[in-house]
Amino acid sequence: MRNGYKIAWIVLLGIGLAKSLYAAEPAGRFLAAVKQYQEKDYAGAAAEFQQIAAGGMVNGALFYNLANAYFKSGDMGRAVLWYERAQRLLPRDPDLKFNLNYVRSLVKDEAGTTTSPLYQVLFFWNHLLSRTAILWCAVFGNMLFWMVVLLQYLLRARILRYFSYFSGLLALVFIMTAFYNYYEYAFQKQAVVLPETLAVRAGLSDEDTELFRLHAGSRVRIEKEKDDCYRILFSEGKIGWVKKSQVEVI
Amino acid sequence: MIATLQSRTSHFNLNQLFFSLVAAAFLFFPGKTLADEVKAVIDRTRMTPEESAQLSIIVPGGEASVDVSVIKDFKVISQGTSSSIQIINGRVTREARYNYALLPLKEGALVIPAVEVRLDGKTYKTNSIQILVTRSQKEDHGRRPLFAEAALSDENLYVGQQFIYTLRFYTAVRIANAGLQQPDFNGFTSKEIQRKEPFRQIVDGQEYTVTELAYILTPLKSGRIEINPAVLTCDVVKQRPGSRRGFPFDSFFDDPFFSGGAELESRIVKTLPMEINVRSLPPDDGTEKFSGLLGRIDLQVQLDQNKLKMGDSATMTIIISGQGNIMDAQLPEMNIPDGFKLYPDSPQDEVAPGPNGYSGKKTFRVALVAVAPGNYEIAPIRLHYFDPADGKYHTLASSAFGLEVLPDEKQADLKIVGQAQTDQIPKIKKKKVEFSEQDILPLKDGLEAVENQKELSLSWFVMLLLIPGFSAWGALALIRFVGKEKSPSEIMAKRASIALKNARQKGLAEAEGLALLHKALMAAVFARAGLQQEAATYQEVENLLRQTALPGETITQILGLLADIDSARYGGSLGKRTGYELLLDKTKGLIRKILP
Repeated sequence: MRNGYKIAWIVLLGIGLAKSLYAAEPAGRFLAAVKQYQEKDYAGAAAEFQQIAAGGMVNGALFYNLANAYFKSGDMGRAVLWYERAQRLLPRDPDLKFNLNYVRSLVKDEAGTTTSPLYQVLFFWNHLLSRTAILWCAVFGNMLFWMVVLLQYLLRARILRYFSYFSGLLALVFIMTAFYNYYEYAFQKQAVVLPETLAVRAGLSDEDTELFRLHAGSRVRIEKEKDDCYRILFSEGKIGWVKKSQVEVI
Repeated sequence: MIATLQSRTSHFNLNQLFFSLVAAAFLFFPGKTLADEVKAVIDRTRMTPEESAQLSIIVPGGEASVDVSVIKDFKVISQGTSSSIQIINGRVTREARYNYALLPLKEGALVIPAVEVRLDGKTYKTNSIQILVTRSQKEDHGRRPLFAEAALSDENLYVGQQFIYTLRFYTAVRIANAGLQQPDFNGFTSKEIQRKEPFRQIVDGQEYTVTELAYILTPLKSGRIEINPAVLTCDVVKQRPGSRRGFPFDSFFDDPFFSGGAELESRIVKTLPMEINVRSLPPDDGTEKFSGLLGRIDLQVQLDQNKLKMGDSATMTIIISGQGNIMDAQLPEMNIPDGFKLYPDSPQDEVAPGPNGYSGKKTFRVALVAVAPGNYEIAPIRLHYFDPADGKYHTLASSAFGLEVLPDEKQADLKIVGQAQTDQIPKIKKKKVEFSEQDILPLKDGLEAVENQKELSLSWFVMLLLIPGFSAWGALALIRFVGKEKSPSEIMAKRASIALKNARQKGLAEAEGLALLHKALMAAVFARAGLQQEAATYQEVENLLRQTALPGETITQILGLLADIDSARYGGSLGKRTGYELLLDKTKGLIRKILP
């Protein structure tokens, strides 16, 4: 019996140690990357940050740093890509806004309008809040609504009825927004051009007519995918095919 | 007036002294000895405390060392040395004259003690001289060639109250080389008033030329403060005896100064020390803020207009005038409504020292710039000061001013910014800030960058949405279930069952048992009818039961049983236990039939 306890303790300690090592690894990599960045080894820093992100870490600050490192190492396409990814998580971060605006200003192509300004005004909360924040607003709004409904049944208070209408509407707005965001993420993918120059063609083959050229950092919408190609929409009327490897989904 | 000096070295006996004197007389100085020639001369033996005496020590033969430190009753001021050579009957004599001015330090019979004179290694000592110093008598003025007086405009003062200190020098003789040493005025601020031209005044029949100096003094502290004497040093021009008088041709040359027949006599005159009593200001009641002004004060306040447009300005002029420390006046407190901005101008000071002290006016001008339209009232301007004349505080107040501010369409968008008047603000051309260089902002190096912020998956999100809904539905169902109300039939059936159960208990009294049987049967009837009530007549019971689907036979049995129970309850004892048991069984059987 005693031996059984000992083994159990050792197993528990092993699990704890492994967990702490697992947790410490990204931190160590992160600090090393920051040091490399400060020592102006931007490519090395980008590689380290990329390793952390590839390990499944989702964090707006990490993506921002990765974008910084790519920008400093001269990779405009990936810089824009990671700033865009960071913006989904930190939509109101001033540093991020500044850097993204600056980097966008360096992109050679004039940005096509993929999102209607009316949409941005009508659904302003979807631009003010991050996707995660909207999800949790939906969850807690929904919870609040049901609590109010329950209270209203028990207390029969008239004011709670109006409050239940309000909380129900609020919850509905956030739930619908959250579902729209899931839909957009799954079916209306945005991507960023990675190479310095990208030829957008009329078909899937390299021999197909080159319709127009895009440059690193330009943002496109993926309309369709076939084989190893995406059909992209840059702006109104500017549609064509590119290789999947030449753009990366945000 | 001439005192003969006596040598200190005369330690000879009489024979030796006689021999020496005779030998000297015969061999060297047929008339006088050296000791006889050394003289101390004083110009007067009677004087007033304000006067000075002239002491001359005449040493024949050459320069000597004169020690005047032994003179204690007088302040001794050296006035230099002169020497002269005389040739009389072919004999050449040389003489040195040491001159001193003596100022008496006290009154009474003062003594000039013997003064030591060292000459050629020998020491001589003079005899002492007595001088009588007495207060000046008015009748003495006529005999005094010059004297000085000081006067105060007030001797009982308050701290900060100005007063006049006047110094007058009376001269009946010609003087030259006059020099004034004014008092140091410790404990006061002083300002000399512009001097008047000397004037003539007759004092006790004697005509004097009066030179007057006046100072405005302001005491800085309370208590008794002394003002030191003022001292005038001068040379009196005197007619030398034997000089020509009455030259017939030119009166100009009659002046001894030019005719060579004059001699200068140094004189010193001084005023008496004065003492004044300075009091602190009395305590104020504190209802008004004290302006710090003392004197006779007046206040005038003017507003140049009573109607103006928004953005325009009106000027309020506040004049504080009178006699006193007007120059210390500050802008009085102004209670101006919020609809105005104030811009005070530099005050104009027109205060000058005069024969009665400082007087004049100080003018404050304040621009009131209207920033909001409306009708305003500007509260009276108040000034709280102290008048030493009556020893009281006084408050002056202007009248209130009404001011109408009209809106100005042209300046509707005028905005007063900060403290400066709009037209005084230098127009700054705003410039768009441009980046001189551009770069991205630095890394976020906090370790929170490695905290995972993974989004909820769709399935988790849906689950989290459904959980509150299902929970609420479950809770509602549970509440409904727990709180469900029973029907009257159920309630009455339950009562019938309980009453029947209690009626079966052993050891129960007969009457109690019969009551329970009645209750059980009635409850069963009401349960059948779907009513929740306690009692009914036989007829009501029959009517109720007729409305149910019970057979008529059963109804009859029920009514019969009720009658049996009641007759047993109220008609008398059953007698046998078996009768109760029978009723119990009947009741039990009928209740089973009645209850659905």
